[in-house]
Amino acid sequence: MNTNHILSHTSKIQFKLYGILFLVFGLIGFTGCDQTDPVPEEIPETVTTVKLTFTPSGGGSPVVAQAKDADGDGPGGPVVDEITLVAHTTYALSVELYNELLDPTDAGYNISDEVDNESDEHQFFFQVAPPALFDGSFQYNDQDTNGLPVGLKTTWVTGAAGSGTFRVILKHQPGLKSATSDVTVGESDVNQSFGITIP
Amino acid sequence: MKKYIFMVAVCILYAQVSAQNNGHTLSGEVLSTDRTPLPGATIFLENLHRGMVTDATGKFFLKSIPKGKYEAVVRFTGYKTQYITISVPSAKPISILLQEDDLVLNNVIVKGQSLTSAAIPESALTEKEIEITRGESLGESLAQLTGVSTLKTGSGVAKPVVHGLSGNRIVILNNDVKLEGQQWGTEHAPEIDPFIAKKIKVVKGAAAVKYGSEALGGVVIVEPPDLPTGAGLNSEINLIGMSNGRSFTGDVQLEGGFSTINGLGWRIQGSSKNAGDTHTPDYNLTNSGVKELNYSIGLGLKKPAYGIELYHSHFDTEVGILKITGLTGSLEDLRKVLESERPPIIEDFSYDIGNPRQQATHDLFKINGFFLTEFGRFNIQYGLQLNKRKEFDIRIGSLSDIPSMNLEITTHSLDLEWVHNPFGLLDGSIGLNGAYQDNINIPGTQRSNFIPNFNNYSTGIYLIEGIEKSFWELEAGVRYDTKFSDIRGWNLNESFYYDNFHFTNFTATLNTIYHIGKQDRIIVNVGSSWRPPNMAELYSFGKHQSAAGLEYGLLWFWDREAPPPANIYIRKFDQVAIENEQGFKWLNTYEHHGKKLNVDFSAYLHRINNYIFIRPEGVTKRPEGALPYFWYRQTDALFLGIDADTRYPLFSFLNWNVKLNYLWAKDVRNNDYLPFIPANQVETGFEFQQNQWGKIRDVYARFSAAYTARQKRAPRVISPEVITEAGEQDKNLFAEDPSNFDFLAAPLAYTLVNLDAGITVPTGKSNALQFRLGIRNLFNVSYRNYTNRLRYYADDEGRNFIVSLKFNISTFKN
Repeated sequence: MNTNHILSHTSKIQFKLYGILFLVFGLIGFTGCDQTDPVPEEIPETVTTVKLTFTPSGGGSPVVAQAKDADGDGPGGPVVDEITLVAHTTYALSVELYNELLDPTDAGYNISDEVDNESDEHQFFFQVAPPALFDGSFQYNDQDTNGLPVGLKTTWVTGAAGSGTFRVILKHQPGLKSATSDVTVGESDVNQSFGITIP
Repeated sequence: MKKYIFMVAVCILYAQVSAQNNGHTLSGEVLSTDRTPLPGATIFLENLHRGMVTDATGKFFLKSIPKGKYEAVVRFTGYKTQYITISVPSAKPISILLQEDDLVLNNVIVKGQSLTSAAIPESALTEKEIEITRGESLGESLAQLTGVSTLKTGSGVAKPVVHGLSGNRIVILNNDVKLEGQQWGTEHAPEIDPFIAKKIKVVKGAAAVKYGSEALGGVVIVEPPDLPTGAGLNSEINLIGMSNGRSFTGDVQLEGGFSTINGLGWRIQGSSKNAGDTHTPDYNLTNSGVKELNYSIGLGLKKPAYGIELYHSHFDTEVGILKITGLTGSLEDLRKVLESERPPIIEDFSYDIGNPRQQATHDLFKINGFFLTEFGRFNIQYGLQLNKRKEFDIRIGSLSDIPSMNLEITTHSLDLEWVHNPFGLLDGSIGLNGAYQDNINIPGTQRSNFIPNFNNYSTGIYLIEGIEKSFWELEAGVRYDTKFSDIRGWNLNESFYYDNFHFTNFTATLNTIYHIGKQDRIIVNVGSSWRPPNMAELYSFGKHQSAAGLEYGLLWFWDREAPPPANIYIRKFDQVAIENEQGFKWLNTYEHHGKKLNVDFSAYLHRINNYIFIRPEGVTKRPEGALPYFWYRQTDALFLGIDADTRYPLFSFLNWNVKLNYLWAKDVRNNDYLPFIPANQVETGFEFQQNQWGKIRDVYARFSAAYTARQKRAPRVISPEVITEAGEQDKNLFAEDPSNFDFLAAPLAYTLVNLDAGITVPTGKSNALQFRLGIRNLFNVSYRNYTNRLRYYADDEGRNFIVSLKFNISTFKN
């Protein structure tokens, strides 16, 4: 029997196969050279820090309390300061939001600026427990383009001594914000609770 | 010497032609029942141990055969094997007719390409089962098969689960090409238009030898019909409307062949779907709509000795994910959402899809061909896949318009296969697979990349050989794989990370079939498999829609002592004890296909060492609110299960059917339950069938009731409150009890009843109109499915009425 014939035929086919293999893997290899490195992303939306500054209206040093979650999307929780205020005093409260994963010079660093720019879609709400920690209700000191409150600046009057919680909620209400829209409307951009003491 | 013997085996046919001259000559042809010649069919004379393959015109010719009677086995893939007795000498050339085998056939190898792998059991959807689920997704269609369920994210996303495994453990073959997208995501449905499919099958046994490492859990095969080879034109139109979601789905297909060039055929197909919000029995599932726009084109030339085919398909979808606002609120909000009967946002019905939503496109370009030589058949296939995925979340201000995830993955694949002619008793194939993958994050998402950029280079080579005797078959396969990955990404604290690693592994399978009489057979399928961890399992970081929470991969490490943000960082692959998944599966199947009773019964054992799974680990409080987080972990898992499907005709027009899916899964390393394992299910149905009723054809009505048990083997429950308290006191949740947990208990058992009916009205000589009606969840039962990731927040879909219409015109001669 003619094994030579078979062998030469086999090798021809092998040759053809290698040829095709070479061609296609060559092609794949060629396109494969193109390795794209990722670009680091700015992550502006992450609120790592909520900073509250209570400035007594009669003068004196402001009380600063902040909640800071330095690992952003990481699993660790925030470090939250306790708010300590003086009884029966009027305070101007300013709320600041930061993304401290960015450099202070980066555009997305100061998120409260962004809220200010989009004030017609945002509103801060505050929940105090027990309510007696403050006298009456607080005042919004700022307005959006539609004359509705924003809440970056507010005024509060403390009540008698006590302790409890002070919750800051920022609602994003695009197309939903109105004179009657309350804390149940829209998505929460911020929802941070602080401990509060009035000695 | 050994080599010489091997060569002798290779050229056995030559030896037969040239060796002796005593004896008689046997000649003839092998044809299909419609008289088409079948080139490459094998005729094997059992007692002589001699075989022959038909030539390009289906003819065969065998010399030097001593006088006598011979048992001959005639085989051709896609056709039923014939056992015949041949007398030599024979007065004239013999004609052997083979009958096409659609459903009973066990050949997992792609369309007529191999004579082997007959031994791995598979289940196929019948044509009617495909028809009934027209308008639904591929995952939902597949769930009709025993042993197959779905992993869902709301109503728009369903991934197939085979014997408890899904995602990257299932290979999906889309027109013979392994689907390559972002399959790791539990809410990433397979990017396949089910309208392209004529056949939908599932291989449940160890099939990793043929399909590579990711076939550890099974293979889903979606096959379009063969392109036409004769002259004619065929068109099909499908229109489907559903009440739940008020959806409209349409599909048009056109195919034809030419009288001038025999074997040249083409097909063009397009489908579109527009579904709005679905609803539960009590409320709307806001933002659960789906939109799809898909098309495919195919062109092929098929001659007896060679063939070539070009194919392109485009899939484009937009899917809404249920709106759950409480997740961005406080821990109390999260608790409320988890405990509440209803999702926090319920709006009126709408077709609009808002955030969170996903957009995915998938393009496939394929060229494949085959040619027959005296050594057998050679198959070559090159595929190019481009998969783009964008996910949009609810974000601050204008960021909502920017995708929070934007990935593009390109895959080149090359598959070569030689299906050799029989070497004596041996029948088999040798194959080579190569693939190159490039995954990139499109910059500008303004969020940490969820998975890094990477390149994968993989090659595999396999050998499958089988022996078939009259009452038993044996098949063995081995495979060697090698995979190289190169990864580039960014750590949270803006430091670049780079890594690369290399995996190699052997895989083996052994399959046997034992025939007991003509109606019964036993199939034993034993196989090993392996799977390297995928990029998401290693590198996931951050918010992801599927979990409605945060996900972290195996390589991320949280150093609770270090100051943030450097406290969470990625580790090098070789610094961490991460092992490949190593699987061993033993599947036993008993089949009885009698004149009346039909039984398919399978029992399996699947052990997977270093099984990778994602589990809830805690809740992280952030100024934006509290979110649950999930971490990928490894353990050793054991799956034991039973699938059964029996069918018995109570009357000639009424079939009774019972199906059972039973799965018992365990984390054997920790003696614990595994999360997200499908619950057990039993289904029974009656089907009325009348082939002809006056002028009306194919009249049927089907009633089925499926009972899904509560998953009792679910991890313990720890409420978010307890988890937060632990977080505040810096307590490790797993310190006292290392077992897995879940935020909510597994949902209760439920029974769903479905009705279907249909008729076909001939409207002319070669056209027909088909009407179908269906009702899903007839009694409008409120239920939650354990493997629906949105079960934490909302019920599943309520009653759904389906009306569908199919119109078919054909000028082909049948």
